[in-house]
Amino acid sequence: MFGLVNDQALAKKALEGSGDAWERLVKKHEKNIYNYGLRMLGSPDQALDLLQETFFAVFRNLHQYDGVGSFSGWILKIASNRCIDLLRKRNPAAPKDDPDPAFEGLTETRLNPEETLHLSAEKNRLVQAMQKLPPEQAVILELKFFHGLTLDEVADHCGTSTNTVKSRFYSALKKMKIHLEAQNVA
Amino acid sequence: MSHNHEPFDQQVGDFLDSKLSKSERDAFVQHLNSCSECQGLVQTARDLQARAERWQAEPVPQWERLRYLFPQQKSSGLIWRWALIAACLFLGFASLLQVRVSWESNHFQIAFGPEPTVNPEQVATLIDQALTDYKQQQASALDDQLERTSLEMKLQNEKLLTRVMEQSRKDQREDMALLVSQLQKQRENDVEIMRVNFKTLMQENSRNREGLIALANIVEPKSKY
Repeated sequence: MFGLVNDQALAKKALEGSGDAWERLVKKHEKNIYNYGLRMLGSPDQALDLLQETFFAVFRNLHQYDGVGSFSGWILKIASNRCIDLLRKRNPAAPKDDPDPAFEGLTETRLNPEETLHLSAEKNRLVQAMQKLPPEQAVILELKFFHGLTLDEVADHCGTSTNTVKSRFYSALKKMKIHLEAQNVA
Repeated sequence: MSHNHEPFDQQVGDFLDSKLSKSERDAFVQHLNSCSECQGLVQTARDLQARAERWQAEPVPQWERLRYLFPQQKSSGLIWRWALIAACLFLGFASLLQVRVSWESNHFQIAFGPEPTVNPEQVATLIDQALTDYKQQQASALDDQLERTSLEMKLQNEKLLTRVMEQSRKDQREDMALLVSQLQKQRENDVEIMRVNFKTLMQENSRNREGLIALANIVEPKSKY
């Protein structure tokens, strides 16, 4: 609660033109968004791009933040939308879901694996496996496991139905199982 | 082994979120015990959860948080800062010069220096006196300057005359020496020419004398007879 009030106070001061308040607000949340970008996009440069675009959008829409819900959740929602847009631009032909089980496990990696080599081995394996999921499925795993949201909250966050989220979650788990097992075998 | 996963595929998330009712949970667990595929998915989910908890956040690279988002605010702040400095400087100079601004007869008056304590007539008298003194000082200074200039010019003229005279004498001496030298040279040339001519004459005289002697020798015996 204290954090929420604090974020709101900082946002208000930032809107009034306080650079110091804005910087404190950004520093408080930037690590979360940057690491989100690393896992979703797999590249430090693109994660930094996502970070900058996200906070640019946050600043432009700061006056619309009504204080309902956490500030970090609001920022995360903006980052998710920007991230899926970036991934869609990167691979516009990728399906949102692949309901045909025959295609499971055949999804191409979204990013060159060399781009994630700066991370530790375990992080690298996880990021590479995440890169093989369609963006809409990857974001569900991200929100569920790294941000602790329930599937209902994920559905609310993504603006889709809970049943769609549950189906995508199930598909994502199946693919992750295959990719992680393949990594262990290799 | 093929299983019918419905409705369990929809319940994996709820099971992990502990949102199933007791009867749903029992049924799901019973399904798990007989379905290795769903067991594997739950295990994968728990593995992912463990990896998420182990994830050490990567540090954020340095980036411009303010310039990127507050270009106008920063620029505006800079303008205000300069305006404040300019205002402070202006006030400082105004205080130093004792600037007074007043409104009289439909126009502003700006004055410098301390507030006047005498009336205008006294000021006029003081100004006249100061002007007269200044005029006398200037006239005296001008006279002095004129005298100094005149004296200086006189000295300069004398110096110039002396130098001209000296130069003239020197030139005359040089001319005379040159003339003497030329005359001496001419004299030596003339003496040499005379010497040569004299020598030639002497040689001719000698030859004439010998001729006369020879002639006399021839003529003398004939005169005996």
